Amino acid sequence: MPVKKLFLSVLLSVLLIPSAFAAIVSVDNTFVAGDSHSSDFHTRLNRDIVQLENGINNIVTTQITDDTLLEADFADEINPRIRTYQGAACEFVYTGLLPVTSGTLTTDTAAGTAYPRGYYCNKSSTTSHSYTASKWTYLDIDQNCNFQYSETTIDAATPAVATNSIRLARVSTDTTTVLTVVDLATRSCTTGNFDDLSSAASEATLGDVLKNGAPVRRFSPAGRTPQGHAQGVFVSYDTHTTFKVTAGSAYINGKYRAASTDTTVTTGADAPATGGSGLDTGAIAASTRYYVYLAADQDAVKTYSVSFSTSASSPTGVTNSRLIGSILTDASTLFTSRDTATVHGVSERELPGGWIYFTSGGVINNSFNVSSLTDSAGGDWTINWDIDYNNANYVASGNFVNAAAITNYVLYVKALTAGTTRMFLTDAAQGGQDADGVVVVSIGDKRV
Amino acid sequence: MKKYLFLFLILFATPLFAEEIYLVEKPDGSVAVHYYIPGSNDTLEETLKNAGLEDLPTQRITQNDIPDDRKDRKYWKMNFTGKKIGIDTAKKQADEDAKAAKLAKKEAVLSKLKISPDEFKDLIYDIQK
Repeated sequence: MPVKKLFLSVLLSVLLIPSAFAAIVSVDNTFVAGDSHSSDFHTRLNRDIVQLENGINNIVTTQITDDTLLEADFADEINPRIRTYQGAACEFVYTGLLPVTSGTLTTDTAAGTAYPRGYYCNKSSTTSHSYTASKWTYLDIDQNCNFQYSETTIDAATPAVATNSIRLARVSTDTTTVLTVVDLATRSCTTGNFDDLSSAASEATLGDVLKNGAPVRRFSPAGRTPQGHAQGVFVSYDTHTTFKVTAGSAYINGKYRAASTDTTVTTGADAPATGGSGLDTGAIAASTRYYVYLAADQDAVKTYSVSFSTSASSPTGVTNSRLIGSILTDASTLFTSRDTATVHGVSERELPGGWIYFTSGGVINNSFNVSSLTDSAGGDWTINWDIDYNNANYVASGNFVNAAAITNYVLYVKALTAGTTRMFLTDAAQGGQDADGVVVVSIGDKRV
Repeated sequence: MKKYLFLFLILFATPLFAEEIYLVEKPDGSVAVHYYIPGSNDTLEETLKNAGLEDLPTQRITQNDIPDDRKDRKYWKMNFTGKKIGIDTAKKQADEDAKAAKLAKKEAVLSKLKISPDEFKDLIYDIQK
């Protein structure tokens, strides 16, 4: 190329390069008229060209003028707007990346987007893989956007997540097919470990709050007091062949579970890995106390299942269990309504349903759940319970209060209805008598 | 002045949650005294019904209407003027007369048997054994 043309090319290149590069790139020599005839012209020209190349190939922050890069200029991989829109505040799967079941051992993992180690990873099409028969295979995706496969025997312990990866799923195969797929991916950054959530640094976390604390009863029948949160989940008699665990939530051996409806439990076998409630082993027996447990062995679900067992320490075949109460069977293997107990709660049967202390002059000194008191005659008193008992099969008992000793009076329950207790204070001749006062307490089935 | 007025109200005002007292006349002329606790889930009518006192003459009374001495409780009757609870003196006299007659009859029998009341008790006790 003629020297003059080459010179003009270089000059134009320098002039046309955005001034942003001028801060770093500098030309060592300037050319003057007649330079093309100097002996070192080519040396200086080549040096300038090298300077320009280095500047172009080593662009740094200072070469970029403030506020000149637009959001649309960023690729998805580094675009903050994309990350915010997709909620990538943590390592998680934004969309897809879940294998599907198949009639063969080969199946596809769906396209999708994830953020392993914070790297934007997008699979724009499905990925096929042939799985090993009769295995559990854990599927992860790493920061280079490659799938990682970890095989275990079925029911074996969960393997660690692959290096620089996040977990996606567990694929279970039989001899010829992909049988089940369990989604194990974190798909929202609003979920997280409760131990990481606290209202202020160094103060109790949500995990601390939910894991610690013994229930109402200090000692369970097993002598092993369950710890941690339990709300609701009362053992409740239902029928002779079923019982219920009321809706509620609980901390179960490191798992958090909740149910919004009552769980009905039959005398059939339990299936904790798939959420089935029932007897842990064997058949229902007569005149037996069964211990009732919540089970949290099913992965990626919100609810618990219920297993009951003759074991007072743990049900057979359940990994994550929590003792919640007990229930009895009678001589005909039927569930009974009596003696149903909940470890972390007290039923209304175990608490006074009503009481009263009144004087013979009709002054009510104090009372609980009483709407009226009737003095029908000497020593003849009727107490009206405000919230009635379910029926007349409750217990009422009392005594008379008297400063002076009286040896021949007796206070007895003359009549019981669901809403009233009639007490009679009498002497040996069955004559109604009065004393300074009377105290009465009652206990029974009463739903408030 | 405000201080004394407040004290007066405290001393003489009806306590907010004190029971209401009702006198109910039973068919045989005797009375029941029914203490109802206001604010209960049960209404007054429901409590009267539960106590077997519905549809009977009823009037509200105060603690002052109730005799302090309950030895004549068996003879209480309803008044509609003055003190609401009175004593059925006729009934009381009749009972006392009957009791006296019974006692006289008993003493007559003992006199015939020529034994004392204690000796008679011992005799009955031995027979019952």
